[in-house]
Amino acid sequence: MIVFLAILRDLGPYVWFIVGALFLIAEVMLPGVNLIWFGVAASATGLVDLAVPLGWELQMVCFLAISAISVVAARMITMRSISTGTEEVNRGPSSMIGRELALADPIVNGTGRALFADSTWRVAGADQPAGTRVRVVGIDASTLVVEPVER
Amino acid sequence: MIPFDLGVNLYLIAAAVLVFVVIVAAVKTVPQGMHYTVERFGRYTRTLKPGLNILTPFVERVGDKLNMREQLLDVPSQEVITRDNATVTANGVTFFQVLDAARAAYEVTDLDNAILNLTMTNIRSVMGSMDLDELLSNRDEINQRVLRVVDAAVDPWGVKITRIEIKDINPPPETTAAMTRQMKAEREKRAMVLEAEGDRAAAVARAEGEKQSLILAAEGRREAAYRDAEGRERTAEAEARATEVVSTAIEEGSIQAINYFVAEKYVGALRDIAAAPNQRTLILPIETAATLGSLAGIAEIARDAFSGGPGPASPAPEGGGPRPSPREIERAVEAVIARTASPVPTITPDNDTPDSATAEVPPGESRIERIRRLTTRNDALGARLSGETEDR
Repeated sequence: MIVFLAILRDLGPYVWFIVGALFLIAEVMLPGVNLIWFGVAASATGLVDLAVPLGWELQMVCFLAISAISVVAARMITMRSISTGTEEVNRGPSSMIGRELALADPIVNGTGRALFADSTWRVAGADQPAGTRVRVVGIDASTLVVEPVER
Repeated sequence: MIPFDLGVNLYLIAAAVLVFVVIVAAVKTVPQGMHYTVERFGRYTRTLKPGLNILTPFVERVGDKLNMREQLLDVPSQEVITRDNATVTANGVTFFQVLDAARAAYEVTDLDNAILNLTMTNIRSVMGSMDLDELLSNRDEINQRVLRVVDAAVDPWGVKITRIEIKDINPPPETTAAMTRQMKAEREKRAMVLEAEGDRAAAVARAEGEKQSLILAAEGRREAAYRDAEGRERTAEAEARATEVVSTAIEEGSIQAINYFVAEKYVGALRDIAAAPNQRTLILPIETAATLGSLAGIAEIARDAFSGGPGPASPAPEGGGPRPSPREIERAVEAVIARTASPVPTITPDNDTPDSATAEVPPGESRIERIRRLTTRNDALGARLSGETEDR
């Protein structure tokens, strides 16, 4: 650390660019570790130091602050993309809401089975005879909440 | 190296390290197809979805990482005793999908093992309730029944069983051999039945054909008999007509006409005998004299016919003398026959036997026409000779 600080003091802002590049390389090479924030923050700190020469303490504070901010900003951006519905695969049975199915077994005492995708799914709803067409209106784990299709 | 004043700066360095570690620990990227459960002080609070997630540092941590994709469990081979006490080996495969990560993580320990055991025991119970034959032919039903039971059982775990498939059902080798024999016997039986049916159909068809052909042949014979009968009728008619014509001719003409015919036939027969290719020596019968006598009679007829004048014995009645009575004609014919009688076979006028008359006649002439022609030709003779006939 002392060596790093000494190099930092001697080389000035360019050290931050080197460090940022190393973080980004590590981000790509190492699986399961998130270092992109630090790479981005180091590069940003280098730019700040180039513009406004700061003491090394301030540079350090700047680096940590930008790291935290970048994480939060990235989180907010991804949250927005999720809310706009870019998730298209592996949504589970929630993709079945609104679908019409035929009952394979009658619904007795609130539970029965419906045909879907060459398998049968547990359904819950008002009692119906087998063969009735029902619409999925909700999901409860692996049980589909259904109501009869109005004809 | 310039020494630093580490008094204040040491705190700053410690803070930097802390922030670094916190950021690394709090930021969680969840890959697609996985859900992470989050525990706050060991208690489940929420589930992390795929994407970038931030945990509250120190307070929250990731509890369980669950695969939300459809997964496959190989059900190992197990011995199953069927209802009819046959021991079979069965294995299969189960497909399941975690739909609720929290339930799958906290409602059950070792989810895969639990599903596997549940599947195995249910395969055992479903297959144990069936006979071996049912077992081998009703896999779909087994799959469905096991699926229903296991799916209902795993519902509290937030898991959906999408499929359970029995892969192999292996009866013991002796049973397999017996089944093969049975199958073979069954097919042989079918083959034999089919062959027998084929033979039967062929025999019926053949008999049918024979019957048809016999009927047709009989019809043909019947038709032919009708035609034959008709022909015979016609022949008889013609015969009657011919006889009538001849008798009319005789009645109206002379008995010499008959003599002429008989003589002609006689000579024709002799010529035929003489011309027979297999007999070079002609042995004349004892009654040669009689034959010669008949020849003499012919000569006499010829002489009378061509002499141009009436015979010396009696004058020929010109135009219309007294006609000979039928009785007289009969007697005259008898006399001629008696005179010409000989062992030489008499040639009877018959359709099938060619005679001299036929040979002279152009083809296509019917018998009646021939008789009429001959009669007409001889009428002149007959008329002239009628007087002599009376004398004999």
